Amino acid sequence: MTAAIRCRAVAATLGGVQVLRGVDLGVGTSEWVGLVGPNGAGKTTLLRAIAGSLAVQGAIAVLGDDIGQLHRRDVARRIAMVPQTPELPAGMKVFDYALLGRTPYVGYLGTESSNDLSIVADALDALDLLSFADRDVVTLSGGEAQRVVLARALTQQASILLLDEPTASLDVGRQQSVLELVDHLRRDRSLTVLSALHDLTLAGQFADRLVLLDRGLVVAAGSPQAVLRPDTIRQLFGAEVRVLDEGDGVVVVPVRGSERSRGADHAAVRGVSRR
Amino acid sequence: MAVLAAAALVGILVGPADLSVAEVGRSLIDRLPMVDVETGLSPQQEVILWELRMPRVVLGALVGSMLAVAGGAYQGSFRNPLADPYLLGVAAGAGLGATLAIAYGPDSAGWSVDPIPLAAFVGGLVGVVLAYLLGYSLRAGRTAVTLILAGVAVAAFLTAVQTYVQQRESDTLRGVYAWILGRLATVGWHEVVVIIPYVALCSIVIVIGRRMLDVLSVGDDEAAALGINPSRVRLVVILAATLGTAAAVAVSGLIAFVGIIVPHTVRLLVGTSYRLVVPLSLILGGAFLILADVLARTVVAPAELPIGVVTAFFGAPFFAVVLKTSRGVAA
Repeated sequence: MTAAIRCRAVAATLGGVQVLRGVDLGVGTSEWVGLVGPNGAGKTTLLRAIAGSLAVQGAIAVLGDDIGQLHRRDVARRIAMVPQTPELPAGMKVFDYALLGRTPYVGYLGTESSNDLSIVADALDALDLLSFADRDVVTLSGGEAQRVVLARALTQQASILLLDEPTASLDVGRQQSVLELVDHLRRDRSLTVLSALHDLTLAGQFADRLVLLDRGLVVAAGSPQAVLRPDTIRQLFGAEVRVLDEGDGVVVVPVRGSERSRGADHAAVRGVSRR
Repeated sequence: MAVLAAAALVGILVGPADLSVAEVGRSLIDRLPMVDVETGLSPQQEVILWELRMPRVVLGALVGSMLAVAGGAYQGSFRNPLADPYLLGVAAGAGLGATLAIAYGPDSAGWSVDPIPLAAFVGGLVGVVLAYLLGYSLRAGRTAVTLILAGVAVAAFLTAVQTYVQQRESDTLRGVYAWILGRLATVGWHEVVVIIPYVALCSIVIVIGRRMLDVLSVGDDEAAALGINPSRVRLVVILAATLGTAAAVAVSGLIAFVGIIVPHTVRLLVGTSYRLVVPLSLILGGAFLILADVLARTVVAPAELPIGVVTAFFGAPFFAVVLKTSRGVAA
């Protein structure tokens, strides 16, 4: 079976800093892989590289083809990206914003067809946004805006969805509902999902598999149970946690450690920062 | 289109010589191939209509449309509501070109080509090319912000040179000043013929690229992920807007504010999608400048106000109102 995404030795330097240092990663078709790791691990950079927004060294193949050999439009037909802080242009209506997702299908000289418009209407309908169609995108709440950005991604009709911290700045209820929605959509439409997730519990609950990045390298990959281990989290995040195996996922609960372990944590953090 | 037609009619009818709607209508029909009607106009009125008012109205429509649509294109390309067609040094370059031609140009009385528009056109393009080269050579890369900053630097430099030349050749001050304030004076259809290919070509490119301006509004990163090359789109749209603007200012001088107030008015009326802003700016820009020219011709008749004074006089307060009422929409 062809992997949906295959990265080999992907390296990137931003502003003189090496952000990715040879990442190998494979994501199977219809799989949900969660990218986890501390701040600055390179999660966003990796997603941007896969989306074709950033030139990198190494090889990235999408549905079997090297993205360097594909036209931008072909990449955009295969991959839809939901950025962490999407630009919502003031004054743009929800419908027009979702219509941007049809860009890879409309030629430079063309205009949107009635088919494009109905695809947008369907996406808005699927996300319960039809009544918002004429609203200005900047007047939406955080949860509504996230759904509108998802709608734009759906209109791209790509089989791969990249999500960069889709739950950032949402309350706990909205976090759950957005990820449930993504899970529903991916099952409904056989989508492959690669998402950077800050919240380890959400990552452990929703993703089939996790890839743990640290300073531009993959340090662990596998099931949530295999990746989210208290000792690993302590070492990389400097956090004391308890990991509860819930059968179909794991729950990561931060706990205050004892004085002794806190001292050890500080030493571990210093050790991490020295590496 | 009705607005443009109405503005054109006002532009044709208003003036010292009385022409009626019926006479103008009959004269228009009379010009159609294989149609011959009695117009009711004297030969002198025919000349006034066809060699004075009509070319001036058409020139106003062309220049106004070009400046308005170029303003919209610049605002979209740079994602900056205050961008106008003169942003990247086209005005400063054209000003310097015209000043050099007025101050040092040879006596062109017997020439078939007026050197001032030509010098302004070349100067405007040189200004933008310099801004682009400077912007792209900066380490920060090909972002819209570096390009704007490069345009500011180039414009400041060219304006300094222009001011220096102007001071050195103070006897030409009046001519330079008149050019800078803008005017729609025509000699028959000459100016119209000169700029119509530029306005047509550049407007078509921008109208075709209007969807891409919407895509640019989500930022270069997301635009790239949607399958376009933002730098290339910006280059093509700005080239078209600049070429058209250079052609327009070459024959009309530096007419202010059209490129800002017209697209913003359209946004207030129909929203911010460039799919509507671009074509409507094209139409309303033409109508706006025709009416501004009517005022320029009539307010202190028989003398004329520079049209740049009229557009700025009405444009500046209008722009303040737009900023106050539009809030998030314009920003």
